[in-house]
Amino acid sequence: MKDERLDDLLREAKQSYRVPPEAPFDALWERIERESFDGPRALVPTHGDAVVLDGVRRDAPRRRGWLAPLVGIAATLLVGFGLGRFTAPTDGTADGTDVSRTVIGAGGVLTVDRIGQGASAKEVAEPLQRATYEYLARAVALLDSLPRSAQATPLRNDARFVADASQLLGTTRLLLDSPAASDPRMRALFEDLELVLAQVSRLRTAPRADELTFIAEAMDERAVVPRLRTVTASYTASGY
Amino acid sequence: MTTPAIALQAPDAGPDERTLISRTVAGDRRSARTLYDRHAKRVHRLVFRICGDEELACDLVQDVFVRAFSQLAGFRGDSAFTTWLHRIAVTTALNQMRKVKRIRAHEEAMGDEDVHAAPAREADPDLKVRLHAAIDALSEGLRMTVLLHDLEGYTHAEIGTMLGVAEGTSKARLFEARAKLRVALKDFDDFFND
Repeated sequence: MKDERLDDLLREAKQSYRVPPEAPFDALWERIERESFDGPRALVPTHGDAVVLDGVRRDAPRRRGWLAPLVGIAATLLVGFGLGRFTAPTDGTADGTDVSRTVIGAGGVLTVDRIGQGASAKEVAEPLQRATYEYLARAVALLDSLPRSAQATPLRNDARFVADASQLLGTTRLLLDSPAASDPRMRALFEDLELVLAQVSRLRTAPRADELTFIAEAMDERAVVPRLRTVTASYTASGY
Repeated sequence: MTTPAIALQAPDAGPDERTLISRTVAGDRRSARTLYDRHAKRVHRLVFRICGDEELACDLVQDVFVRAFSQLAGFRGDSAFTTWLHRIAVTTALNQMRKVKRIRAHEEAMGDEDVHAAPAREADPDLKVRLHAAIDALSEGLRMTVLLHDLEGYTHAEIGTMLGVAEGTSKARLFEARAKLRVALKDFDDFFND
């Protein structure tokens, strides 16, 4: 088939391929409004442009259940860091600008607020950067050891492997809800990691070939591991 | 509590998008509703084209906007709001489709093959139907590229942002997808040459 004819067909397909029926947009809005603005998970405005994210994601309650075992990680992440300074440590806030802080309290509730002027950005940034670097390094190690097919090496210590993936998934979601994800590059990486780790954490002891292939394809399509390596390398170069 | 329904507005009507975003982040439901009204229809078409299921598409629209509003404070305007929103839509829909695929694969493994079996080739001789089937048969990455580029009109740069791939990857995928579509529709060459 010639390109011109295929172009014509695809132009026609704009109007004919999976044309959706009219949706009940008003009815759909009700749940969106309820889950976004009502209840404990609503967006809560605060002073300035800082925003408290009190479990804003729709599935936050479900997460809180499994977040309980992550208290150790949460404690590690009980740190602050400067917005926009996520990927490069700085020596301080010489210009006196405010510094934002991520706080993960009991129950995994994550908030973002501001701390006062003059705080050392390095002081608030370093612990999270170190924790994030360790998290990224663990993610690389885990994904590297994931067999790409059922014929390949079996999963190492299956239960532990899946548990590791679940733990990393929890950390990923915490980071997604934190200012760490304000960097578009990191957000994209966290989102792709969330997707892959969610699949890995659901693997059974003897995964089917298509499950492993599916995960491998998802990783390849998004170049997850190479991007992880690039970021971890930048951390290593920064002395972590 | 539900704000009164308002008619779908043209994208350039009313307050500008940045203002609406700021107000939404500050908790203003009406601004959020305006953003929804401006974008819901296109998001719905996009997710429906990805999943092909009416009920699931409605669920996805809700999931997309709930997620978008929850992450709106992090939107910095590095890309257009539409691109940012549609990236969430694509990610959410693909994630959901993967779950659906797993469920269907499980059902087929249990002996339910006929429930979801594709129609026989002889049953859809029409070119349009064949093209749709050929698009559906593409791998996820190729299908998404055709869908976003040829059917939804996104640029390769926007597709790269939405799918988390390089612009060149998007171009290469489109080339490969079109080659596969040409092969799938090869039987119709004689028809066109007549």
